[in-house]
Amino acid sequence: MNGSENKRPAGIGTGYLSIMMIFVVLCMTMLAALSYSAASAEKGFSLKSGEYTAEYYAADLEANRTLAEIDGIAAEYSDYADLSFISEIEEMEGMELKQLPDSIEISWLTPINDRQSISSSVRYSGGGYVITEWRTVLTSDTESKPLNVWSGE
Amino acid sequence: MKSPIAKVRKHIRSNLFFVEMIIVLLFFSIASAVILRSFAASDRLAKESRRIESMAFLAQSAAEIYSGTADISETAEKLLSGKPYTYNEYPDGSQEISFSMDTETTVRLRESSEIYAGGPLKILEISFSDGSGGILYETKTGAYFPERTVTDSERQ
Repeated sequence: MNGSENKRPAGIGTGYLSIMMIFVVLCMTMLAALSYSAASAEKGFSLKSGEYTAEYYAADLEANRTLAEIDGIAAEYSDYADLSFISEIEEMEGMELKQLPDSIEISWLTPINDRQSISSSVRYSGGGYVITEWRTVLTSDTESKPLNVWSGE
Repeated sequence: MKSPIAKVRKHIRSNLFFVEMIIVLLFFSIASAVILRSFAASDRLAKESRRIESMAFLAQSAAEIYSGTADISETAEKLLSGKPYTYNEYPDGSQEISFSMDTETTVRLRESSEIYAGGPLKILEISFSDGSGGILYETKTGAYFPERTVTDSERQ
């Protein structure tokens, strides 16, 4: 048997290029898919964040509008314990009144979205009002709901 | 001296290698074109999200400054810290300030008022538009500073 006939040829053999190409293309495809999904998720997050900012300030404007309405009524009265003032405020939708010994506290909620609201409170005494609360609160009970997961039974 | 059969085998192997290389290069170039398009789309998405974030941050800053000042000029001064802007006043009493956020985006701040018995509620509309005038992002905020005496407010 002649040994020189069994010698493998030097250099790259048939098939190696295909394998290398498949590997490189697979790697590039995975990187491209990962980068696209990351960029897409980032854009979704930015859109939601921007949407929330717009919703928050629109709700803040509405809360200020309600405050202006309340203050417009209050401007006509010198005594905040006046029953007409109280009844006028009570006629406004969503108002909560709390009568304190020397003042009156009015609270209301302005929805930001279906989960959150701006909770506002003003206290009238003497010559005008003091804002006692102006903060974002959760209005839905999503936090108290248990997660729908298998309990192991 | 090599036999003619060995020469033919070597020739066939060499031809097979070149055929494979051509197929591989062809497939690789097609795949690369598709993958590069995907990378370009990712880059475009990332740029868009950066732009949305910038607009939201700028709108938030403007709204926060305005809620403390209730004055459009002061808001623009604090927001832009000396950069140029255009001021317009309209017959209905509303005022508008516009400036460029970047080469493609124009920002417009427009102030109007709603009159209540206690004083005016000032409203600031913040909008961002592209070169063609299409609205990219907009929000509204307000500030109520009554004219009569009011004790110091404490916002939490």
